[in-house]
Amino acid sequence: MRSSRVRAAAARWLIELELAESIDAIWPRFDAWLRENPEHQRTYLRIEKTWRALDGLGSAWQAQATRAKRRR
Amino acid sequence: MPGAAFVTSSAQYADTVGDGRRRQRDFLRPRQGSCLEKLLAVEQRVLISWLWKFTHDSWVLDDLLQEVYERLLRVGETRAASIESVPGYVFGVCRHVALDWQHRKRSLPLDYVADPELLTMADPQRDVERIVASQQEIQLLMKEIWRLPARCRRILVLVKVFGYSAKEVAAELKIAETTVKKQLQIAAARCTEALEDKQSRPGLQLLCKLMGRRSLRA
Repeated sequence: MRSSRVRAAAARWLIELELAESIDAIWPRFDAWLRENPEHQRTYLRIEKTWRALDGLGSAWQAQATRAKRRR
Repeated sequence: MPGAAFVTSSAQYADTVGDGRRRQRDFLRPRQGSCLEKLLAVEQRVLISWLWKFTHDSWVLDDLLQEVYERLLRVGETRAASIESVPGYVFGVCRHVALDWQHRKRSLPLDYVADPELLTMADPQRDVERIVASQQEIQLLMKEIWRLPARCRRILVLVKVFGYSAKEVAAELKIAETTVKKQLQIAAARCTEALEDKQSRPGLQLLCKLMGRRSLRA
């Protein structure tokens, strides 16, 4: 339960940072949250790793679509 | 973590946007003016190439590097000031972290490479393993994406596959930008959970096997 709360918070920070036009205003709060607990750092790194892995989705998606087209 | 001299500044962070791995490493950079700074000033490049000798895997390397910094940050100001040979101490920590990792892995032999040129050589076997692992990861993520609620999935695909910005998604789907953010947060958390489940599953399976049961549930 606790880990899912931390994961949700980490996801919130990730998206905030990803979509912010300027992160100057967000940074101090993010930094404070990160220092609060080592679990926050670990979870954030994991969530960011997943987010980066999702970057490979585009090519996988295209490959799947091409295969589906060929089958048709 | 008391006394932790973490990152950095938002500018440092902004510099690294777009490169997740580098950004992860930059998290634990030292702040200027502390005794710990001396400890952490040993060039990251050197630490990376040193740890690479043990791992030959960039993802593991990220984890180990983070562990090195975490251990260094735990040293504390007073002790940091009394360390005579800073590089020696840092590499000692590095060595401990690498040995601990190898101990955990067990199957890997300790192959210290003395020739720095060898460090740049690619290992085809490991490359194949890494490619297979990342393909499995993608497959798993795709499965998880199909399990997401329809709107959440659509938003994630528009952002990650088609490269839409949050504003563009909001305009396309005629929803608020905050909704886009919320849905992306859900997607990120769910996908991470799926990958974590996958990592913990083999252990559970082994435990079930050892207990002679098909499931841990009674």
